[in-house]
Amino acid sequence: MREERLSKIIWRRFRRNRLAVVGAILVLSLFVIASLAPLLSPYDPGEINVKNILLPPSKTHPLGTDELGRDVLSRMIWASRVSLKVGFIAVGIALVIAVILGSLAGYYGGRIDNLIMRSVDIMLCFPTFFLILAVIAILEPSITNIMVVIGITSWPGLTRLLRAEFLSLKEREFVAAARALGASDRRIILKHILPNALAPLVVAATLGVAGAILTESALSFLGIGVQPPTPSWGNILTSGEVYIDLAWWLSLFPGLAILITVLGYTLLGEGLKDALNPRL
Amino acid sequence: MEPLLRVENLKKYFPVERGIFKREVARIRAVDGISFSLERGKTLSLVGESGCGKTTVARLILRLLEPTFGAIYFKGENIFDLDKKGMFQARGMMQIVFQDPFGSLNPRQRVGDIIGEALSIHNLAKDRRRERIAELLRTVGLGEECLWRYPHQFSGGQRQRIGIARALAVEPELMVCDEPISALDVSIQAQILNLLKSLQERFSLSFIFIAHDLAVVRYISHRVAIMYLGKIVEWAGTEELYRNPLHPYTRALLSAIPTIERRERVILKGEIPDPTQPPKGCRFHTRCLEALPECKEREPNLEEISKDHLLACHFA
Repeated sequence: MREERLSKIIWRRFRRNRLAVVGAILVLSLFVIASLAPLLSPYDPGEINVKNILLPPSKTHPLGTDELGRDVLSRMIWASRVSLKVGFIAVGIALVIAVILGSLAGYYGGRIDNLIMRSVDIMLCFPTFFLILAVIAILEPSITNIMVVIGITSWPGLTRLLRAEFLSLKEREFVAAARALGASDRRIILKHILPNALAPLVVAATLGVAGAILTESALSFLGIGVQPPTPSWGNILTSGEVYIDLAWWLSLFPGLAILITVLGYTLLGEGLKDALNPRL
Repeated sequence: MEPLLRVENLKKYFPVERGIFKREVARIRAVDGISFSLERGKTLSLVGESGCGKTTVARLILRLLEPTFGAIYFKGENIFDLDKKGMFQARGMMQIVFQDPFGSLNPRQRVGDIIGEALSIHNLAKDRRRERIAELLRTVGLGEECLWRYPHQFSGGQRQRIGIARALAVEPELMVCDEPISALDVSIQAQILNLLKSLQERFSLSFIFIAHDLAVVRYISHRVAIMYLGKIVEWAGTEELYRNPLHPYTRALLSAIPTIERRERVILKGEIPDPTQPPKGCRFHTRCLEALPECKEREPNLEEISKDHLLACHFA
């Protein structure tokens, strides 16, 4: 009998999936780029230079310059920080809400379940993006507000998922065994059900990060997200739209960055889904 | 003397609900008025086919379910009257071993934690928990090296041993074994049976042993109760039951045991009836080979027909 941890088996399964590894590498490189932004960016992202307006990609400016003469590469490198922050904090907020509400609804059932799940239904009735638009229009647009709003609009799906996991796990015999031993509800939820419900939650959260990044980019593109001069892929795209006839590089590169990031998280999420599936 | 466990007219109905208003459209009569008792240090087996309510009885005894009606006296006290604290104490004296060795252990816990949890919940063996867990593993025939492993690294029989060790951890007086060997290979079944039997002698345990197979039961039990559709139809000492089975259902179950010599077999037709609508009269009459018109009308009571032999049949 081999002394093998579950995590090792999962890692082996994950490694075999090439697309998943590509996703993991993409996500990892984004982390590296974001954390090393000051070292990697060739120029100050806010440095205006009126002599260098809208220069095409060249040796001195690999991705060209924008309408204020700022280096696009540097701005994009700094913008990756915004994406990461929004993605993780927004999903983090959603996860905290989902774990609390999903556990309560799934474990206790009855009235609590009804109350929580009907709130989920109500939340899901709103077209999320327009809800965010409305809220941001009332509050002032800022990174913090965006993160919070994306977070509190994306918990319903995760809550539903976790509740479903709880419903099936609480009927399992090891939960009955814990109850027969006299374990408290708290212990049963935290030690027996939640650890077994984490796998699908991690997958959904990873995909959720991709969604949050996309939403942030869209908001910034519309001008109610991250406000200039703070660079974000979305607001670089906005100027790209204005100068699309003169400077194609302003639209292409941030667009590609968003595509690659979302693709990376999606591939990683799908890969995790296959690797964590106990039935395989 | 008061028996360790006394079950009185226990009933458990599960409502069948439909629609958004949860209208009750039917009731599954899983357990429909059964009574029995268990002496200290003895084993009572509950035998019957799937769907007769055996597992529901097991879960009621541990109060994992609340009954619709009836009482279970454990050491003289009705467990359904106990408050939270009283029930917690009672749970330190009664334990359960489950049927499915793959579902009854938390896949994310190491074996040491699975058994240790029983100790920490009841605050036992505080200073020497590691040694106590190792001792429990030895008791069920496993080595100390298992401590750090996860359940998926064990075979069915070994997992069942881990489940038994967890139940033993609190030093219970009553152990409910809910088909503990049905999911195991035949070669492993005997090992687990022997283990249970030796544990009974060593710790003077009392067992409720649930099974669907009379062949297995004979070896371990002192008394046997045959259940059919939520009721006990026959109850007797083990030897008496095997020598002198009276209920047609018991005889059918006994003749299902494989033997070497040729003999006539009683083969039942059909399935167990729908427990939401049990048949009128004797519940067994739809499948009974000896049923008479009277059986369709009047339900037989469980009556003592000789010493220590109870029967619910009009013809005996």
